[in-house]
Amino acid sequence: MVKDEAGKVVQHFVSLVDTTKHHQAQEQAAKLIDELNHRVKNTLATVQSIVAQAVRNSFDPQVVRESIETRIAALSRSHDLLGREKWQGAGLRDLVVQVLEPFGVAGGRAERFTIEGKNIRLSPKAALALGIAFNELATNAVKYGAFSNKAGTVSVEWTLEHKSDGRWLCLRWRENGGPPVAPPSHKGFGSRVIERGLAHELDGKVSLDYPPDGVICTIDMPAPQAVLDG
Amino acid sequence: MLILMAIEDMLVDLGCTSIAAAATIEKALALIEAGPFDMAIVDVNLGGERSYPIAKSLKAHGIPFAFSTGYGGHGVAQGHGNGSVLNKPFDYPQLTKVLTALLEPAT
Repeated sequence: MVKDEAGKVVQHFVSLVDTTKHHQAQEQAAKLIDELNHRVKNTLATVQSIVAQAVRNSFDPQVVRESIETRIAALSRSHDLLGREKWQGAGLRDLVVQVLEPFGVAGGRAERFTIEGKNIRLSPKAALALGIAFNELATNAVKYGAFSNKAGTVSVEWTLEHKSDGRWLCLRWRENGGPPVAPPSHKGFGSRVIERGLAHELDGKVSLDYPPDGVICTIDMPAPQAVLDG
Repeated sequence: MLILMAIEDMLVDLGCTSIAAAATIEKALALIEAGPFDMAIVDVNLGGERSYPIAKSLKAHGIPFAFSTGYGGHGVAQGHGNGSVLNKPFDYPQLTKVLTALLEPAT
């Protein structure tokens, strides 16, 4: 019913809308690719760090290899967890279970773990940092601590607390029943990662203590945004 | 997190005797005020925010610095920094070259 010109105008209008959607999709894709590049570069730099540390800490190729493999495996599992949630974050409880799974939390050693606390949502950054830290704690527990004998146990508990400067997430990793503990004469890479690296990354306070009954790691961090948002 | 520790180890290997690190813009600005520093490496992206306020403060305090980025050359906007850019992951040759250049007095 419309003249040619009118018909052409109608067609232009429809094309405009399609172009807008097309541009939006292109922008979205460009953003995702940028994000992907960023994450890949960070992952490569993390792997490089893992390799550098392993080589620095031992002359034994077997030890070096195992150190690299177990840490990369832990990193990979953290990525699995974050990937499942589309990199929006991860639940703290899910994270603890995920990290401790290779150490037997779901299987034969289940009775040697206690995990107490809500599944608080963590940012991807906090989840990655805590994942690395828990892996170091568990690895040390196997080598020297509560998992190095048949009786030792580990409890991981956390609460949200109101302090004068805001809400805090307070977590404690406590080992019990392992061989008698003495403070290490030399702080290994794992201890550095936990006491320094983690505190820096979470903007919180971390302490690693060695009472004779078993290692205690206390992690206090500002409550994640998801908690503050209610 | 492991990246920071590896960078610190590399810096120690290259002869740095004192290293301070900040994970947020506020912390970085506070550190700069507390000073003094011979040089700085600034990640273009800090906690999801662009770190240009830090670059500004470093310039104001006369502290030479390099940006570090995982985005390749185009990650740093024009007009910022001294032009020094470190690409992640770092390696010793790259780090040595850039940091040595930062230590040269400006001509």
